[in-house]
Amino acid sequence: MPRGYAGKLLRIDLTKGKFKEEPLEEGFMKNFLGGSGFGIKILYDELAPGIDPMSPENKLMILTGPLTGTLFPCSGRWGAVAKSPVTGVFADAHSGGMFGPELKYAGFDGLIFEGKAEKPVWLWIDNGKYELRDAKDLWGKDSFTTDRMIKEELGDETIRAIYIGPAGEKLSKLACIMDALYRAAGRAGIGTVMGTKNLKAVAARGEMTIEAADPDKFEEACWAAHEHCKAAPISGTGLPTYGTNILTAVINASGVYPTRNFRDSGVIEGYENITGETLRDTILVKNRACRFCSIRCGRYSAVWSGPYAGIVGEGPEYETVWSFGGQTGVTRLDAIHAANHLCNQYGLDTIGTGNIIGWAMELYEKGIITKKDTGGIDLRFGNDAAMVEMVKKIAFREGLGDILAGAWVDAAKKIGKGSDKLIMGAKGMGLPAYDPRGAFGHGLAYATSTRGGCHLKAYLIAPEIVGYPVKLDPHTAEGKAKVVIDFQHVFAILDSGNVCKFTSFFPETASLEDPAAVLTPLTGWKFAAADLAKIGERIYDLEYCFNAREYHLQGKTVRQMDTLPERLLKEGMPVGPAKGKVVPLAQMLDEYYKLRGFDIKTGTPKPEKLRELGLDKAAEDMAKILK
Amino acid sequence: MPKALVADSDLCTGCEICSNICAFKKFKSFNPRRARIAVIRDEPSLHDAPVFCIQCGLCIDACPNGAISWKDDIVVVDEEKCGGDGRCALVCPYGAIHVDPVTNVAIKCDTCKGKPACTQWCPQGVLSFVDVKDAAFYKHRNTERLMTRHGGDLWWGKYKLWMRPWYKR
Repeated sequence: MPRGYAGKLLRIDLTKGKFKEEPLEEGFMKNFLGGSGFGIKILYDELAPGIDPMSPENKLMILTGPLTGTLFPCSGRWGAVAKSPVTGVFADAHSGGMFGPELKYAGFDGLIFEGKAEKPVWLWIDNGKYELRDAKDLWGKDSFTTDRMIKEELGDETIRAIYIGPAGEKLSKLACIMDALYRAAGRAGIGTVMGTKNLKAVAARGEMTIEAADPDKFEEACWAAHEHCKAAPISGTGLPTYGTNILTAVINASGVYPTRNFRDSGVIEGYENITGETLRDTILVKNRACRFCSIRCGRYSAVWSGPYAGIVGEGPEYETVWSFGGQTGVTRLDAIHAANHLCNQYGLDTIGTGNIIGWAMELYEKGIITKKDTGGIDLRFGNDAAMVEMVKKIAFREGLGDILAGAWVDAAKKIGKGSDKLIMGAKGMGLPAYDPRGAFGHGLAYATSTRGGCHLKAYLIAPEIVGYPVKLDPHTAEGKAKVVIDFQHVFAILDSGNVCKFTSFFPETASLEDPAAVLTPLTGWKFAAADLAKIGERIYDLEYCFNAREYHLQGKTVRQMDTLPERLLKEGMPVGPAKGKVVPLAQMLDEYYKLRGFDIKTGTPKPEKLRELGLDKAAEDMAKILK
Repeated sequence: MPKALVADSDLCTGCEICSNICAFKKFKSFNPRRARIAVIRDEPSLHDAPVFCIQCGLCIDACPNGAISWKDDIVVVDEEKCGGDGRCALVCPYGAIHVDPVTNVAIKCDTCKGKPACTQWCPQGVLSFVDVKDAAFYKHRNTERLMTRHGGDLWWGKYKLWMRPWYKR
């Protein structure tokens, strides 16, 4: 049996209720590592191009990696992979929480869900045994109740489960999969796919033994990584003290804070009310960590007074503070925490929900939608009560919420009247909390993200704004493509080893030295940092191939889709240090495709490059597209 | 003077690194279920705390095989003699000793021969290994918490924190 892995995947045919255990092959593990890597390989090989992501033909994978559940810092993670109903292309979403390691201890590196269950079901994996159980009672329950009911039904408080909330059941495209009540694999509608399969929850309990090939060396390397984690300023001090929300002050000071649907970007007046420092002084109760996390950036907050008094739970994170704060113009921590809490309860993606509410607010102010459409809600920017009300409406698909729950592209089709021009998204998925007009490299990262508008495929804010690991000029396009590519490979590895991306905040992991030093004694195979970068490239290129294949069927090219909203390309930044700047995307894209070995005109990966990476099937497909 | 493992559980974030390193140190495998230290993470309340053996020796008399004994101020299990019948787990008030699911032998904290790995790995500094005379302070504080919190709901100002509102037991 391979070391560091549980050694098999479980394939579940929900239509027939049949199971199949599949052992992992050595080449598969060595070339794709785990997590997202496994996910894209299986998705590319097995999913017919052009299928409807909401249909039973789509596959949902829950995956862990070799580092999951080990001693490596922040290794308590899992990822979900499917074809996204939001973007129509590849999607992976990752979550911390408690479930990932438990799945591995229960004997499986991953689960592959196929088909669609006739009635709502949930999967129970107990130490290598598995069964589908009736989810009649769980259906319709929010995520907190579901977690409670699963633990009580099985009579064990140490069971770890993931589940969808009412949003996922109602096929809202903003749905996510929740873990440990407050942690979510959020973006790209991954919870929606789970909902289409009538799968409410997956619970696991495991006592299986996972071993390292060389335990002593492995422990030594992991301890070194923990030391690096403690020594680095961001992961050792910044995040534990202020949480991810430490960024609100930094991003505003640098003038890249997207404000009111990116209309008044730069700095939001009154941002002092929602910074991590204020959060610590006002609503923070204590730090909460995901499993095996040595960074512990999670906040556990409680609102003591005012209209939202009594809301107690984890969060809010920086992205959430932006989406319900900066994006909607609400600079009140208590309202943000309330909206965040509702999202956790109903299983909604906080970034997407806030982004789309901000979009609706701009439509309302422009008169594209009126009070009649909103059901009497005064959806102006800065109206906190309206914002919280809209979260509920989106979760239960009432009124305007029903339209918004269809996510950006579908909602814009229904609303019409030029509303699609105001979508702040890439590939159909809403952007997160950084305005690329003040950080050009991050603009390229958004555009070339394989799952759409997202900061988690490359995080150029670190070098451009924070100055980590080196300070780059945010207002130049030069040399950014190379940095974006390197980031994408590192993040592909962290997603595949399945550890937290915050581990990249210590330089030894950002350079892949730590993962290589740990994976070698763990698996017994020799990995160097350069080998891992190669694996990262293979994974990212294959994600690109998947997207190219889908776009080709729709008569589009990748380059057409690797773009940003017009506002970011044409309208100058309104205020702040980057005033008047726009993203010089075309120039950066040229360099990006050239460095990646893609066709510059269409953005399609070139076959010779793919063959070099051992992706022969993809090479053939791309050759056909390029012809 | 003997030393004791103590905790300041208000600092605990529930990450389970202590359980993970414990199981790894003893069995060279990853699984907090095989650890001698457990982390209580009582969702959805905000209560996280490590639970471990305080070396009280209550299990010694309970063992029908005489497998448990004192050795250098630590209560240890003789793996050869242990029959895995779990009488020790029955009497332990803390759940600090239990039968390992794989080897079927009772396992409990032996303070890693005076160098507990959990104190080294805990990122929050919750756990420490101190002289018994200093241990009293930590134990007093934990007892105080037991009395004030386990009685029922925890109040912070006028808001309830020790909550079970979402689903009635």
